[in-house]
Amino acid sequence: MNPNATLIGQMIAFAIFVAFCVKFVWPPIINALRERQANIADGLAAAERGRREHELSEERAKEVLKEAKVEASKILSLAQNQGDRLIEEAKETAMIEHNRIVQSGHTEVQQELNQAKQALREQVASISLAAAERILEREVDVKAHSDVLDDLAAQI
Amino acid sequence: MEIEGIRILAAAIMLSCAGVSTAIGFAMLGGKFLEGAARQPEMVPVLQTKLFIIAGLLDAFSAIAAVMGLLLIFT
Amino acid sequence: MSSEHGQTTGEYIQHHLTNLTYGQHADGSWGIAHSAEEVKEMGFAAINLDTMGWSIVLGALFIILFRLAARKATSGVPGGLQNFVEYMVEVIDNIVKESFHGKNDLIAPLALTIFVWIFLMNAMDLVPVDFIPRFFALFGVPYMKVVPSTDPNITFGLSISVLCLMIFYSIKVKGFGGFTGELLFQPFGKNIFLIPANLFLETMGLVVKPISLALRLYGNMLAGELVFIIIAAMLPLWIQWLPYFAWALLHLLIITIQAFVFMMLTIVYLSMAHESH
Repeated sequence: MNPNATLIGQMIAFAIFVAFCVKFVWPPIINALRERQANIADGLAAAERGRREHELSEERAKEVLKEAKVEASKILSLAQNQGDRLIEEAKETAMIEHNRIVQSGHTEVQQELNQAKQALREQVASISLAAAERILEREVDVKAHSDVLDDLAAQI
Repeated sequence: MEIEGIRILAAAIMLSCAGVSTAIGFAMLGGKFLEGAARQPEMVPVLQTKLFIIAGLLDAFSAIAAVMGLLLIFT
Repeated sequence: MSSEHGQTTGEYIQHHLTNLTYGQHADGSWGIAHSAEEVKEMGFAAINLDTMGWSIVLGALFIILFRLAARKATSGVPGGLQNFVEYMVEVIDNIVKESFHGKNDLIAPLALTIFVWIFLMNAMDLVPVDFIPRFFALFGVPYMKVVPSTDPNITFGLSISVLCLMIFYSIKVKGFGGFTGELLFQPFGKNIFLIPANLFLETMGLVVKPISLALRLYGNMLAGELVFIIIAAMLPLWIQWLPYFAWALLHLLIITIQAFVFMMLTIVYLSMAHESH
């Protein structure tokens, strides 16, 4: 161990190298590093944002799809209901019509029956009147006994 | 005893002391490190850096002693 | 090995541990010392050409490499060298951010310089011990100690520079009064009778730091180098590679740790200098 001027020389060299490093080496490298770090951070943030947006839109699409499905099923069931109701209504009206037709048929038949009865009665009355006329040609005056004959006709 | 013998003896004592002390030091250091690592595995990277620093510090004095011993023998 | 040179093992090792010193001989002429005695006679006004030279070469290598990367540094995609340099810069920047609590733009580049430079100086250890000295011997250079950090002058040069920085920043941050106040009134408190004890302890603390810093690096590197030299001196040539590689593997760890520890302690000491109690 011989202390000599190497000590001083080393101190000077050290000072020079450190000064050079401080001035010319450290700043460009650390600046480039910081810049790149910022770039990468930005890129990552953008990617993250994109990913989140994508997720969000996917979510939204799903939601819309689900809503559409619900809507469709609602519409379907509504249509079903409506169809059922229509059929039911149609059935009902058909029934009513049927009843009405049957009813009117009945009344018509009744009317015709009545008419026929009436006609028959009148005919019977006129026939019996004729018969009576023929029998009673001479003795009975039509005019005098018409009330009795009418009464009889009504009773038939 | 002549002077050469004493010198060798001194060097031997220095070397063995350096060896024993480093061995004890590293054993304690390594043991504690493993204990710490087993207890908190997530601390391993931090501990490892400090382990190396302490290993460097620990090594220094025994290395100096070893150098003195070797110089005594060979020069 | 040793027999080839007609040296004993001791002489061989001694030869490898001698610096190439340039200075004034006892008779007044200037020149290279040829023995340890001549080196002693030269005193302080001499310079170790080999360690000084290698240290400057390696420092210049560091500066050139990093300057090349720095000139091409853009925020785009980095290439090979730039990648490595940026990785180093990033790691050291993080360490400094973690350990250094003041605000000072000098500390991070200082730490980078210390780490890379010391690492390169230590890495000279891994060059087989005879290569460079033999090469220089061809040109008639008698001694060549290639690992600058095995020269205490180099390590003390570094650590004393760090001490100067510590004192400088202590005074700059706390003012001259604050610095002397810390020397006089820490750690026992403000009492006129305690000043000598305080002064003694604080000065010791201040002085011991660079000494331990320098000796730690010196001791570790010399021990590693010595093991390499002993391997080269004691074993036959054909088997040397085996212990050489075994030790080189371990030593690779040691040189990195030592460079790292030197840098780390520098940061911590300077951080302490920036904090006022």
